Amino acid sequence: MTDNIKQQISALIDGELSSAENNTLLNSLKDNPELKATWGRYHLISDALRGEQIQVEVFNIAERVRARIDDEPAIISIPKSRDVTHSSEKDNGVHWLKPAVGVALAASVAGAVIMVMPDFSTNPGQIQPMQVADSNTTTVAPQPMQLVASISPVTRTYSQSSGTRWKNLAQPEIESKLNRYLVDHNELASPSGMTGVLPYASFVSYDSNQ
Amino acid sequence: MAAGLFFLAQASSSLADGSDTEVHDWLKRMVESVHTLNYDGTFVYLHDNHMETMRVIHAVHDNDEHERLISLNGAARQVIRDNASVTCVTPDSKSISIGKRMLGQGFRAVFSADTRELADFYEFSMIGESRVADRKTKVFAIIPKDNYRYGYRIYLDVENALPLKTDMLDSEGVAVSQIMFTSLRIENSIASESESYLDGKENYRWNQEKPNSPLGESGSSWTFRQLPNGFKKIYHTKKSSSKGREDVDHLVLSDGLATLSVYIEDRSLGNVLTGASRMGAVNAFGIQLSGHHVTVVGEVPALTVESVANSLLPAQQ
Repeated sequence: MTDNIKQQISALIDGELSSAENNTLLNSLKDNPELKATWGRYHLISDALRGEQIQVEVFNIAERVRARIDDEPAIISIPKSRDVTHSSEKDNGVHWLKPAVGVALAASVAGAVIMVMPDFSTNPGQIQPMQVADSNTTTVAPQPMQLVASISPVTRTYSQSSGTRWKNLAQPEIESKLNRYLVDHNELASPSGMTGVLPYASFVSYDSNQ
Repeated sequence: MAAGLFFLAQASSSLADGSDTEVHDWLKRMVESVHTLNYDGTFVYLHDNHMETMRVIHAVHDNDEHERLISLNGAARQVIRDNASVTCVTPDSKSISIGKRMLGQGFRAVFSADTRELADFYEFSMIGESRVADRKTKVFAIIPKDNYRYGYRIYLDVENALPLKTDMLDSEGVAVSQIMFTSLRIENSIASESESYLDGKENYRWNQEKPNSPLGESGSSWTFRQLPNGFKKIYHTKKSSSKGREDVDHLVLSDGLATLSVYIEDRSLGNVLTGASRMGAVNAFGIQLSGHHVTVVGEVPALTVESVANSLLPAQQ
């Protein structure tokens, strides 16, 4: 299938073709199952985007996606949980920290884990890992926790995860804009096969605010 | 030239076993291979002190390219590209955005560089052999002749010229970003994995961008006082304002290898970047100019984005 025909199909769906072009294209669609499939796929996307008949089409999409996935070898799937590493907070019973974690995630910044190492001479055999979150990336000042204050803990701080961040910037809004610009830039500037080998490689480091 | 790159240059003269022509032929083959072969590989991407792992599946059916890039750590973000569209799936923000291809532009490059034409700005050489992802490679260096662009060290698969490792180097010869395959399968054909879709799509927010069309010279009177040697405006487009977004002029400048983008917002809405910022090999610089806000961004040194931003001249109304 040529690019040209695909673009025409796309244009047809958007009503951007002349009626003569419409007819020619529809005729070739009629006789070509592969083109028909493409047409169907684009149309679904188009409908969904316009919010037309989305309830009806959603059912079909889901079915098709399932059918398609059944046919496939193992492919990465989306984790059900937004951030698996945070699920351990429940196990630790540190529920009072939850709101802070939520805030940190919303701002797409790192959560941090504080490992509290007890003083073994006074309270042997007890290690309490805890999670806290800080809205400001790497260092969390080791705060004396009520829970462990009595055992004079030695605290260490590790950053659990960190998105790639623009230097000298602490404003998500600007980061998002820069990320959008970078995506556009990459699309146009991926020509030579040098940086352009994988122009979307930096996509993974984008924040979730875009 | 800084010490690191000087060392590369030295190494190149002693180790090189290929003529100048051979180097350019390899690089040309590389670009072809990237677009025409079927491959499925895992690579790591290192920039600053961040490391990501990704899988790329590239397939060609009847000259029709499909590519799927999946992040294997963190949020399962994906980019699915074919000749008609680019689809970005971001499960962490539950959104799918579809950018249509530029009308008349396929998957292929906006332009294709013949590296022979870049001799004024870069020196090309073969600097040895190595092994990446358990495959034999030839190593090439592309060394810039000034500080306005990065250098490259590229490890090409001896069999098929795919770039198995690509280092982008600053003027000190230090890598600012590295991409390296850890495994790679090259096949005669790859099933439709490269365009497969996600479960639960209906839960996503969908965004679509209108295709851009290139503007002719008349489209803008934005000009530059003086660009770094070798950089030319290769492209200009205007994003018409969609919901809640301002009009943006988008100029693309390139020296044939390095590219950067200049974005000019009709007016500044909300917060804007003022001054310099950086993410890995990408530098950005923002300034205000005659009531417009200008952001320059690209995989070039900080010096370059700043000089480009400062040499922009406002459009004649």
